[in-house]
Amino acid sequence: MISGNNNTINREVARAAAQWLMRLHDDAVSNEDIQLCEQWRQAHSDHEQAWQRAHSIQEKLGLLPVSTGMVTLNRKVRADRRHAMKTLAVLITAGPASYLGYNSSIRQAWSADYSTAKGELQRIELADGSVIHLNTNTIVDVIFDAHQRKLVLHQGELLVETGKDTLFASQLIRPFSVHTHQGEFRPIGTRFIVRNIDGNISTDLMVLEGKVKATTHLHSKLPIINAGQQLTIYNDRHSDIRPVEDYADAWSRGLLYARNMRLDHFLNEISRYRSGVLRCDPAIANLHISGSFQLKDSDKILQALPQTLPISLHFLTPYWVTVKEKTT
Amino acid sequence: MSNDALSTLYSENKSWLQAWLSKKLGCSHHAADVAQDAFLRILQLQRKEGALPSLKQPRAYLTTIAGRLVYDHFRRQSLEKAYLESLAHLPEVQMPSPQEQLIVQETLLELDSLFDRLKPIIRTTFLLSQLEGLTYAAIAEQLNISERTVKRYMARAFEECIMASSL
Repeated sequence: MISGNNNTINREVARAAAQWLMRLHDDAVSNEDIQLCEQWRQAHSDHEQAWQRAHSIQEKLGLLPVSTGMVTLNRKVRADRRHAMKTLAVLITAGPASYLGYNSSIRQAWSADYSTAKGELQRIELADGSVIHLNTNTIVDVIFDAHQRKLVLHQGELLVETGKDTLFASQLIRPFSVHTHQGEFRPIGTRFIVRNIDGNISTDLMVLEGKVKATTHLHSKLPIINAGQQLTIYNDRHSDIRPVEDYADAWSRGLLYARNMRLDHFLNEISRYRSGVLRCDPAIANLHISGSFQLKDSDKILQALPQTLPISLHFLTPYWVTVKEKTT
Repeated sequence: MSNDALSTLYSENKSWLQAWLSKKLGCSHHAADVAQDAFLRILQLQRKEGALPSLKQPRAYLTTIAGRLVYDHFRRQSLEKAYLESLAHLPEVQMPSPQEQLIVQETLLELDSLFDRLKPIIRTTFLLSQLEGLTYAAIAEQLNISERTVKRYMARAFEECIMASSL
């Protein structure tokens, strides 16, 4: 067989490429390594071919929603007939729809009313005149009936501006509340943010105007939270009350304000608005950044950074960006 | 092995292989299909290599090839199930369109056969890094292994992916 055939790759070359790939995906990768790797790729077409093969796999991984990729590709394969047949029987006899319906927590997720993708922002006017803003990657149920006006925040961040309940204005007041895994929030004529962005570990409450009465699911006693105050609730405890940061609601206008913000915090915030991985080299994590940024284009924000900070961007793939010290 | 040898292998063992597969798969229709696939696979290997090694134990050879196909069959089935379940956890508004689903399914099938070659711990390491974006230190902590081992697994996974994939 002629060497250089499209389908054959030398094991030694593959091993060398794999070593480079492993090093470049380390968050402690040095600028020297990045340059040496570049040289290695250019040294021989076989090297570049091996590199491109790995790259195409990473691009395919990038097509998958993270949650789907993990539960499917990392499942335990049980290659025995009885197990497979049992599953198959359920699918055939019950049909996909009822198969999906039997789990109550699944059913709940199916009925979610509003959601945003990564990088998407939405403003929604509710039937009672209240307005909600959904930040990036957010899922909310809206349950309005004769007795209640209830929002359930499954994930993400929600800004609420409550309106006067016009439906039953004179006779009845339907209580307004926001529910999360940690607790329940009842506003008293108000504007506030509820945030759950760490996979249901905690809920942040930030009150911008008016007051909010918070109750945890463990019914621990909480004081009323006033305008300008915020608090974090965990499953078994809650934080002290602290002041709300300036511009906490800037995202509802499509903006991110940074005032002397640490670079790693800033990049963390940006990564909420984009798919894939955004890494910050620890060496530059404590640089500081100020300014206002348009959230609708996070690529643009990143590309502007090297103009004001001594950093460089490395797009390993469109889904994997590392921010490092500027190469001299 | 010549074409004659292949047709002898086929005529002498076809029924036996079908019976063997019926027992494995629990379904005679499937068994007939997979038996066909197994012989097709042997024909492909023969074309690629020029000839097949002389077989002292043709049935052991057949069951190795057919066993792999049976495994692939169940693997594909379990992948489909896992995919359906992952969709079930999405709210309706986030449901991908049929076209998007097709792309994801094709991608999954391709990646799944690739990652199937990796030991589970290596696969988990690789996916935690490449899919979830965890640092090597975070992966080491989560899997209770050393960071050096994480790096070794990552290199191993990249190497296998490069060897197994074609552009």
